[in-house]
Amino acid sequence: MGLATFVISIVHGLLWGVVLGAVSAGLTLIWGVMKVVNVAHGEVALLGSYLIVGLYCALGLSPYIALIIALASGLAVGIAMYWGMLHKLVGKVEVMTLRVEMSTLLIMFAFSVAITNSYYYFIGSEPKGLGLWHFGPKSNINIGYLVIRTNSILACILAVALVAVLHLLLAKTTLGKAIRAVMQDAQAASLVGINPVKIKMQTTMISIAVTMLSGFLILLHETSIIPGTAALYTPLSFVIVVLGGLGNIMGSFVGGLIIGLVYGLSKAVIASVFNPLASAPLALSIAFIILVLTLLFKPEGLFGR
Amino acid sequence: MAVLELDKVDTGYGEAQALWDVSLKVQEGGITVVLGSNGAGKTTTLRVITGILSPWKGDVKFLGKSIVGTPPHKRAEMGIIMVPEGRRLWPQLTVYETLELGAYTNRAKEKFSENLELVYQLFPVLKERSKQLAGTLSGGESQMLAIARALMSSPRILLMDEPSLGLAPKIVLDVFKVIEKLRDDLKMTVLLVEQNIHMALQIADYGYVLEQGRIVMEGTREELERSEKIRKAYLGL
Ligand SMILES: Nc1ncnc2c1ncn2[C@@H]1O[C@H](COP(=O)(O)OP(=O)(O)OP(=O)(O)O)[C@@H](O)[C@H]1O
Ligand SMILES: [Mg+2]
Repeated sequence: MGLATFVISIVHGLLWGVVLGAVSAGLTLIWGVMKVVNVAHGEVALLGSYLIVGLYCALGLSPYIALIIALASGLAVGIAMYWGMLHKLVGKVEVMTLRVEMSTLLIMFAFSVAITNSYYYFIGSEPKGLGLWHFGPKSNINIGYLVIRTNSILACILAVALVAVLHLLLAKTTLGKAIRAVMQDAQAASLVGINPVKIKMQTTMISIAVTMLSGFLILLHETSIIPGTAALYTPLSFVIVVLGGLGNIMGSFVGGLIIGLVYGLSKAVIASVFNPLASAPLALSIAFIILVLTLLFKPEGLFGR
Repeated sequence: MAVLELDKVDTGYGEAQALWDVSLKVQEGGITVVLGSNGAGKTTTLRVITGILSPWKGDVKFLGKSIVGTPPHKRAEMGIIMVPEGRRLWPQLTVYETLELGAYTNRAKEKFSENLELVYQLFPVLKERSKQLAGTLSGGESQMLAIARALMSSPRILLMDEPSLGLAPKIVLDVFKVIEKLRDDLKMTVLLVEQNIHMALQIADYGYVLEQGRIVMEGTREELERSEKIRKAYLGL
C-alpha cells in the first residue's frame, strides 16, 4: 500500500468518523441516558434520509428546508414512539432494571423489522440520493491527489454542530440536568418538582429528532442509500456508544472518529494485501472486535465515568 | 389551621397493608415528629404525603385542601418537599447541579440566590465541594446535600425521613442542630420521622408514635417524655 492510499484512507476514515460520531449521538442519549436499547437506531436515521430525499426529489424542496422539516418530523415521531411503544415500559419506572432494558430491546427490535420491511415495500431496494445536488459551487475539492466531495465537508460541519449543540443541551441547560437526574433516580427527581414522564418523552423526542437529522449526514456521506444501509449504521453506532461510554455525547464523538479511522484503514489494508471484495465485511468485523475488547477490558468505555 | 393533615389513612403495597387508620396533623412553624422502630410505617407515611403512594382509604390535606390524586411533582410545586430515606442523590450530578435542580420549580427559582446563600451558610463544605460529583461525597456530606437540595425547593413543609441514619454521632448532632435552626430562625414547618427517639424528642414540639402501622400515642414533647411507655420501650429507662 502506497503513501497516497494511506493518506487517502486516513482522511476519508476521519471524514466518515465525524459523521459516525454524530449519528451515534442520538443512540447514546436514548440508550446511555434513558436505557432504551434502540436497535432500530440506523433505521430511524434512514427515516430522516428518505424523508429528505422525498422532499427534495418529489416536491423539489431545497435540502436545507427538508432538513428543518426532518427535524420537526423527528420531534413528532419521537412523541409517537414514546406514547406508542415506550411509555408502558419505562414511564413509571424509577430506576431502570435489566429486565425493563431487555423489554425495550425487544420492542425496538420488532420496530426495526417493521420499518425495514416497510422501506423495502414502499421505497424499494434501489439506491436513493440527492442526485447531482452538492454543497457550494463545486462538487469536489482537489488537494494534490486527495479528492474530497464538498458534500462530505458539509456533513462534517453539520455533524460537529449537531454534537456540540446536543452536548451543551445535556451539560448546561435545565432540561439537560433534569434529563440526567430523571435517568439516575426518577423518584428523587419528582420530589423536586420534575415530571419524570414529561422528561422521558422529551428525551425520546430529542433523540429521535437528532437521529433523523443525522440521516441527512449519512445521505451526504454515502451519496445514495438503500434500506440495507441501516444494517451498517445500527451496529457501528452500538460499538461507538460503548466505546465512548454510555450517555457521553463527546465520548461517542471521539468513538466515532476512532471507528471511522479503524474501519477506513483496515478496509484499505485488507483490500491491498488480501482481497478487495473481503475488505468491507472484514473491516466491519474488526470494528466489532473493538467492541468485544472494550467490553472485556474497559466496559465503562474510554470516557465513561 | 394545620399545614398538613392525614385523616384516617389506610395504605400498603400490593396486597400487603402497611398503615391502618393513621391520622396526624402538622402545625405551622414547628417540628412534628413521628417516632417508630424498623418497619413501623414511617417511610410509608411520608410516601402518602409526597404522593409516591396513594391512600386506599382516608384523606391527605395540605393547607385544608385534599391532595389525594395529585402527583409528586405537583406536590413539590405546592411546597411539599422531602429529604428521602437514604438521601437519594443523583450520583453523577455535581453538588452545584443538584442544588440548581433543587430550585427546579418556578416558585423556587425566584428565590434561587437567597436560598443558595442560606444553604452555603448552613453547610459551608458544600460550597467547597460545589464542582464535585454527588456520588463522591462522604455520608455526612451527602446528608447535608440532601437537606440542602430540599431547602433550595423553598419548602412550605419539609419532610425528613431518618436524617440521622448511618451517620456518626457527632454528625447526627450537627444535623439535628440544623433542623432546630430551620425552625427557630426561619420558622420552617418540619415533619421528622425517626428511629433515633432520644434525639428526635429533644427537638420535637409535638409527636406521634407509630407501631406496626398504627398511631398508638401522641402528645407534646413533655407528654411523650413523661410517658411510661416511651421511657420503657424506646428509651430503655
Ligand atoms: N416498597 C415496598 N414494597 C413492599 N412492602 C414494603 C415496601 N416498603 C415498605 N414495605 C413494608 O411496609 C411496612 C412499613 O415499612 P416502612 O418502610 O414504612 O417502615 P419504616 O418505619 O420506614 O422502617 P425503617 O425504619 O426501616 O425505614 C414494612 O412491613 C415493610 O416491609
Ligand atoms: Mg423508613
